[in-house]
Amino acid sequence: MISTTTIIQSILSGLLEGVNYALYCLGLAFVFGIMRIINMAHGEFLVLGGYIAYWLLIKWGLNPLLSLPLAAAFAAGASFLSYRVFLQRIRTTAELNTLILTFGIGIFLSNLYLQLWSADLRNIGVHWMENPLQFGGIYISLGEIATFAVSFAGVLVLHFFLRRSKMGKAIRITAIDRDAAALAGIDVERIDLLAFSIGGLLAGLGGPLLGALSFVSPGTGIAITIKAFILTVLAGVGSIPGLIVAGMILGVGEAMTVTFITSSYRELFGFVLFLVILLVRPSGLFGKRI
Amino acid sequence: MKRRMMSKVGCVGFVIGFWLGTGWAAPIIKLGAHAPQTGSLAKHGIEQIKGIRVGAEEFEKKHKIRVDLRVYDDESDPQKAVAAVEKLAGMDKVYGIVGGYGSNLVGPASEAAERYDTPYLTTGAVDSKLSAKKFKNFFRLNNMPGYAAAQSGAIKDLLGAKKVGVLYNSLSATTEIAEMVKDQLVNAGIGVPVFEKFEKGTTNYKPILLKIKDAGCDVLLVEGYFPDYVGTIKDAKILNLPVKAYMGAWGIGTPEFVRELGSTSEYIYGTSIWEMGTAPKEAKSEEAEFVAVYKAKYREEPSYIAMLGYLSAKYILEAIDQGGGKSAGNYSPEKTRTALRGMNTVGPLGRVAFDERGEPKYFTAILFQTQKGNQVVVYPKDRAMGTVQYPAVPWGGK
Repeated sequence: MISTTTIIQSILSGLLEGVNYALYCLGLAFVFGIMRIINMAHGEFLVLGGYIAYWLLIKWGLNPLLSLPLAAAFAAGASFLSYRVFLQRIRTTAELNTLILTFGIGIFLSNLYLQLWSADLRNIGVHWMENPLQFGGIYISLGEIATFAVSFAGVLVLHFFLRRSKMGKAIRITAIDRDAAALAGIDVERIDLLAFSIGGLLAGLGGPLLGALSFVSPGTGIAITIKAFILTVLAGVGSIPGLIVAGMILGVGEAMTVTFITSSYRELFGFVLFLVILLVRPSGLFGKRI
Repeated sequence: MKRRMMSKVGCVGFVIGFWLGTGWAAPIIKLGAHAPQTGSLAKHGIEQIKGIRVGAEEFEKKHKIRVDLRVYDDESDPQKAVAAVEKLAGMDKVYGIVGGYGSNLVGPASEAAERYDTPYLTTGAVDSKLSAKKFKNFFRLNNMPGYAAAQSGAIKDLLGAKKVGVLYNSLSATTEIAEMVKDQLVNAGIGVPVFEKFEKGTTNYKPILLKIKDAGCDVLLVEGYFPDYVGTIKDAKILNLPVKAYMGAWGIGTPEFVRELGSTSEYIYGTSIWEMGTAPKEAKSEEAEFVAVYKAKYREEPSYIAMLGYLSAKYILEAIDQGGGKSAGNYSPEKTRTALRGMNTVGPLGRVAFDERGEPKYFTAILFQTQKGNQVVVYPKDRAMGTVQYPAVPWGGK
């Protein structure tokens, strides 16, 4: 017999997990929505943020939440360089080229991390973040609350940046009609570079929190990229706020599958949902709303 | 004229010198190794190869036979593992192969070694299906029953638990050990109310841990790998899971594990094959020598995976030597296999001998508990190096 407390705790864990998913896929969804580039190196940029936070924690004892700006800046820098050195040269050719090239960048980065930080799994362990708070038999850790807040803040800031700022509007116009944007005087090459760098920055934000809640390793990136891609399609290309809702649906659905059926079907739930959405609503749950 | 004479003498001298040089050169044994150096299993594969290198170097010193060690990275990928074995056996013509980590990699790799009739001694695969194929070239130093017996034996004899919750990774080796331990526990009259599989890459373990809580289990047994332990321990801590003990299978409680998890690794149990000081007294000096050489070479403590790598290289090189491997043209894989099957020695892991299927006849794992950051062997009692702390988990627990 499953107790009510267990069901509530399970739903809560699913909601929190879903918000984590949203944070991890924010950068990929942004780049895909704006530039139509499936950035297969997204997970590696995120892992870079995690390693930066780990390094800052080990060297100077810096809390991962405080290292967020630096982690994001490093990931944005790596993203900037990747675009400037490689992607810019093939941007106008077939879309498949960018997919293959970013996949190659991802392999290069994961091997670079292997050389720099070895194959060991790195946990950004901060005790106060792991400590639970109890509310009537329901437990939640401070780290989970912090991740929840960062995810929401990331989505909201990005949403308002795209809607309200001059630069954000330029990015959206370029995404809708590149030629018209160029005719209107927008430097589309610069916008592309900026958008890809922002994608890296958003990925970098997730790294320290991933390392705090779980771990980072050179091989972590690809799994993140796949999950992020699934969630992006599920939410609907271009729908940034939809990511949180889609993430929550996925997270709670997975948790309920484990609670009421068995954990063997957890992944199956995600893929069935993915297929159903593709069949019933190919544009995703929240359509296209750049 | 005089100059031509001098050049002829010089040429003849060079040819004679070259002939003598090659004729008198130290004999060479070609040994192949494959292991993950990149990808998800790289951490274990790197340790394995480090141990293999120490084993090859020690063999060179003791036997005055040069070892031509060819190492390929299988990238934690079964297809790459097969390609590595095909390259080693087919192109490099090595006399034996060591390495391999993970049953899903070693399975197809050992099939390739069988096709090329090359002896294959692995230390990183315990799936029982591997030896069921009865390949004549397949040998391994550790197997599943040895690990399962250590876990179920400790739960029954040492902890006296009544209910055990078993969570296991869906990969083949972890599934097999989970089923084996469950059968042993049930046969011993211990309840297993929760027996749940989870997929590799799971990040939210709370829903399954809540089942353990609802069932009132005394022991949480997780048959998985490093990432699974990190996830389950962290989530169990958040839920303040009311259990008396947390036990894992492989890759738990290692120095890296303790370094990464700190106090959250305290009191957990894990299986191992070897820890410093657990060698039988006949092999204490060999153990100490390996540890000293390893530490001098890599500036780190060797793990049990490194020890396994070292021993696999040592045993197969000795067998190849007996198989005529040091003189080109005389090598016989059949003699090498016979030498391995005829082996009966006591090393740091205890007595080592292989049966007809290449299984280690006397292998038994040890169970340790992390206490103040150290691995204290607590089971079996005759190899124990300290007393168990029970009930105790890294969080509050029962």
